[in-house]
Amino acid sequence: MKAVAAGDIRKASMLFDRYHVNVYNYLMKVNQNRMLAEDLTQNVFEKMIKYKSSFQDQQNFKGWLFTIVRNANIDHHRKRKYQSIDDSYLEMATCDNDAHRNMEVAEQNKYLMEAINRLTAEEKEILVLTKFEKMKYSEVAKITGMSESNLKVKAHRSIKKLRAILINDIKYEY
Amino acid sequence: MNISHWEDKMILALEGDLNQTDQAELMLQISKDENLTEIWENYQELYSDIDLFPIDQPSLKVKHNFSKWLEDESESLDDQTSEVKFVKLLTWKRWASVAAIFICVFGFWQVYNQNQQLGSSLANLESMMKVQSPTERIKAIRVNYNQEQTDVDDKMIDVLINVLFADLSSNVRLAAVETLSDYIDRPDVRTALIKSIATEKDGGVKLAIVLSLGQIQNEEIKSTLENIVNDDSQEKYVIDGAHMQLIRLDKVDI
Repeated sequence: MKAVAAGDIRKASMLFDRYHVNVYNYLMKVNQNRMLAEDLTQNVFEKMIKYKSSFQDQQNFKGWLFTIVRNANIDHHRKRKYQSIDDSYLEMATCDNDAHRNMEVAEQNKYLMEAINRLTAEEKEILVLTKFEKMKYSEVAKITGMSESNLKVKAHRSIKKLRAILINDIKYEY
Repeated sequence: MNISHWEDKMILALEGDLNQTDQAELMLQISKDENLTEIWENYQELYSDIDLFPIDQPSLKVKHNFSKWLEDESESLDDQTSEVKFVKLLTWKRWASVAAIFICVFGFWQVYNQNQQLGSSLANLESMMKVQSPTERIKAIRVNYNQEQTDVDDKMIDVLINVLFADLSSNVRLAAVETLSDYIDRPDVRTALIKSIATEKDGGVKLAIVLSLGQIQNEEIKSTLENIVNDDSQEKYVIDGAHMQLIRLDKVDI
């Protein structure tokens, strides 16, 4: 990233190769819309170059990148608020490689995504970053602007709520 | 029994945030109560499902679009850098201002001349493809082969094929592929695209060629795509692209 920030933007392709799947998977889980996740992924890396000068040497790159990801997603939904209502984002989204997995696991994943979709935007964001992306609480706290202790409490409540949705609303039987 | 309290402990345990004493107490409670055992198993499975959740791959077009955008952006940045350097040179060598003005006038004349060429007849296309700036060459392709242009002669196709094989900029070659794909019905275009796969170095351009070829049912194209799929030296996303096109072509057959 240092080279990119110094103006050698061709090096951004290496960063894209390394991180675009993470970015896409985050956007896919919080939006549950493949086309939107793909569009926003490209948009994020364009913004990464646009805002390259705001990257500081000692900064954690993934954390910095996910701040852009989060803002791009929020911007998208803010703009969308003023447009006519379009899709409901409920048309999820079984992964292409589900075909290679057994039916039971594919079904579990489908229910899990359905349950995540019923969380609030903030809960989704916290769960995806901390549990799926396995980012440290300290990193996620910087990205979301929350205190680390507040974030931990919210993550704790979100996982509790997720189980409750799976058991009570989706009637998923483990 | 306060189940919510024990649920909190379970989550802390799974997060690795529970001390040994509390953990022992939790395990004891779980072993005594069937309801808690079930909840504990639920949480264990939930954490395991999250850990094992498959990583989804975005489509190849995301990589392709970004590479194309990056190439354009890099070229435009290169142009700007040269301009900045030029301006600095002027400031540093004031005594050469007259010469600099002359260069500027000459530069403007060249740009004007190129713009004139873009708007002029198709016969000038070949010379326009010799201008230095890749952006201008792409512009020349776009202007001369726009969608309203219904009558494209063999000579113009030859120019594009030449660009496909010889132009140094992958972006210009990509523009040539995109334009040639509009004439994929022509055997000479198909042959050129197929041959170019062997010489093309840029993965993005190769992917564009593969996607263009996949538009039409043709045995030679299928065999070319099969060769790519079986060629380990090709980039993975090019192989994936060829595979997708083969699947699509087979489906059309059915």
